[in-house]
Amino acid sequence: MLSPPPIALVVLLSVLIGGNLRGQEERTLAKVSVQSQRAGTSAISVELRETSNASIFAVLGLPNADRLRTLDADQLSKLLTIRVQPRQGDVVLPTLLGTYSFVDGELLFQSRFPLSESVRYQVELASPLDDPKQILPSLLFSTHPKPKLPAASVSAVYPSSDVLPENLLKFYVHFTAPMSRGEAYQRIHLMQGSREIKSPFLELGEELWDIEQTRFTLLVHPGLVKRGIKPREDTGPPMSSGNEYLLQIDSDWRSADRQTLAATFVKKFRVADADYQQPNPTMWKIGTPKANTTDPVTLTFDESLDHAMLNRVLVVRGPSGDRVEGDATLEQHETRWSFKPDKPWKSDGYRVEIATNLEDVAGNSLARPFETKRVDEPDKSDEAKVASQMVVEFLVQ
Amino acid sequence: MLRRKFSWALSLGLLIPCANLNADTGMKEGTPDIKHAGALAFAPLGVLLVGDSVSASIFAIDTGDAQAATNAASVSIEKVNEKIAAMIGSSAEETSINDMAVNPLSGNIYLSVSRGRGPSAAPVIFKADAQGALSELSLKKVKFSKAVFANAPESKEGARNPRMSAITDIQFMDGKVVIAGLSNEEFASKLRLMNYPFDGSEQSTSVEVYHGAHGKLETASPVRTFVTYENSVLAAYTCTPLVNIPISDLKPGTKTQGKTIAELGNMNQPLDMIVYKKGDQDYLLMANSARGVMKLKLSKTDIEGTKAITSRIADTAGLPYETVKDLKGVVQLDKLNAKQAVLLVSNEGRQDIRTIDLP
Repeated sequence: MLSPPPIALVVLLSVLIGGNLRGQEERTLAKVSVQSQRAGTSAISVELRETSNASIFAVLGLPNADRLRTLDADQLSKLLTIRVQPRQGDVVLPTLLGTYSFVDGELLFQSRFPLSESVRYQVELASPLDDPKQILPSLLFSTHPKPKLPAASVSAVYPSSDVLPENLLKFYVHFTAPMSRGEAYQRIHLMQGSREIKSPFLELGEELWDIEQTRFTLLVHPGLVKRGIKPREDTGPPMSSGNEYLLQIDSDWRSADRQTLAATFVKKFRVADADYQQPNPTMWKIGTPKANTTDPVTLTFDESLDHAMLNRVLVVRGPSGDRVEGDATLEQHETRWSFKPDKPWKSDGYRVEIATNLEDVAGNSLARPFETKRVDEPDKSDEAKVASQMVVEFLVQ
Repeated sequence: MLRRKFSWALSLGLLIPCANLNADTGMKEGTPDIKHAGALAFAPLGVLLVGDSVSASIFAIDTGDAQAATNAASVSIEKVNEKIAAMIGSSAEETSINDMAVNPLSGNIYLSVSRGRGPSAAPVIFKADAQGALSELSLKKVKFSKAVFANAPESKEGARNPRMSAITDIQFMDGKVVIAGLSNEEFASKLRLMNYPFDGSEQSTSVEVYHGAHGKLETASPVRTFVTYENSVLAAYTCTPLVNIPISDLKPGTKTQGKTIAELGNMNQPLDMIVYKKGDQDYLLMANSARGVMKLKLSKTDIEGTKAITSRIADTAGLPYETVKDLKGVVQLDKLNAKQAVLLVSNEGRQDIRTIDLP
């Protein structure tokens, strides 16, 4: 009864669809006539319409509307097929997911997802007149690339110091715009001069991004950092004390809008001896502000601490236990934390609460060293016995 | 009196939506608000567990796919990533298959997929049947339940919290969902355990692993992938040891000392594991990044009898393994039935689903 989609003649009409859509209103973006009007028939055309979250292909002017109205979605799907155009000509890809309906004389296909600008869509119509000689062309639709934002770049890499311990555990790479998942480990290289260090990082299918995908956490392979683990026993640590290295981030890395970075980024650093010591709060210095000012309270640490955690795990509380609102900044290569309150300090007692999972750059936390005790020694760092929080009190006068 | 009747009517009205609640599983009907479909596993009765790193949650979805497979099949889907990309109207470059799990009841294969690579990528779950036909698992009006991590990266007071926990593996065992993952900030080695059906309870336990040389202990290394075997968790760590942890030792708020029973060696990262039986012998099959799939003979007595690796590692230390060399590029594997396994094989941007006889 219904003839299958024609394959003999494929006339490709590329339709560029421009403009960004705003709001929920349905807009017709493109209209292509596929058959001119003949005596007694209406012109058949295909329209592409979009709302803010859906794309709809509509076929107008089909004859036999009375019969089409009685067809179910499965039967309608045999009249109109939409596929992604394959890169190689001979591949037949599955049809697009979506729903079919026949409403007000229009055959409609709503795609499951809005159209993507990275592919072209091939639309084929079965002969609506059940006439095998009536071959209709295949149409190609594609979307205009959206206006691009300026290319993203690396805005910072932490730790910011240019001297890092041999057992450095992680880097944080910050970008100016959201990035694409799935290519991080191809784009980041650890170089010693022109020699690339082989597989120095922990490569995870679930890459470690923040929710906006503007910060990437890069872990040095823990099997290479930890002493006595086979990978390190086989090859030694990826970085060794006394040498200089480059962390290189390729400009090929694409942002979420699929543009490459503005430039390659290089962080040059020298490697110092391994750090197996926990941060030592007894060596920390506190700088107290004066009452009735918004001068910062500062904590100067005995070493560089984890940039991300410093921004999260320190909380200032007032005498009643209420959180003091304000802005924290990190200075001097993450060895100094400075907190400026929104409102002036009162003449009273305050405290800084610090979660003891706060780590230094080698993964030694306030609660435990990265590599813990010998088996035959009593366990002094039992996590269960270590408080989850330490408190630094200060008096504002 | 009239007022009382009215309030009864109102109460009844409010109760009606609850009629959809499934008393056994705590599920309700609706559309789960999955932000990212990552790690997959099956709980009993065709319930699919989906790890969502972005919303720090585990979703349990009743797939309704509980019909027993009639006969063993050999599923093969070439270029599965390109086919899925075409169905969702995108390109293979902008589509990623995040995990694969076989429904042990039906033998159907489930794939978690991201459409797009940016922060607004859409999660999609696909099903492949015994004939290799792909379809989307619709998430509209399904029965589901959701458990949010106890210390989910809630919005910090006054600031956005960028800490997230990437879920690297989930498994169902003995009425519990066991979750491995790692934070994008602190370096910790906690396994999470949630009762299933979800009851709001969550336990976590730190698992220590012995270092080889120097007789050191380590407390912190995230588990990359794991399986359950003979009342134990066999966990592959990001720093490469394979460790045996008795399930009875996984108690909340405690530290457990796992026993290192094998090491994978250099330039190698564990990706996925299954346990199976052939004849009377149990085996562990592990996909890893550097060599072909590794196969270890397993037995409870071997594991118990293996001296924990606490001294300097020699190549012969721990359980011996062989490498199935012709299996290259395997990124996911799962048991299809008692005799076959399904593989997701990745090769220069192309991904295929293949079925093999268990080696």
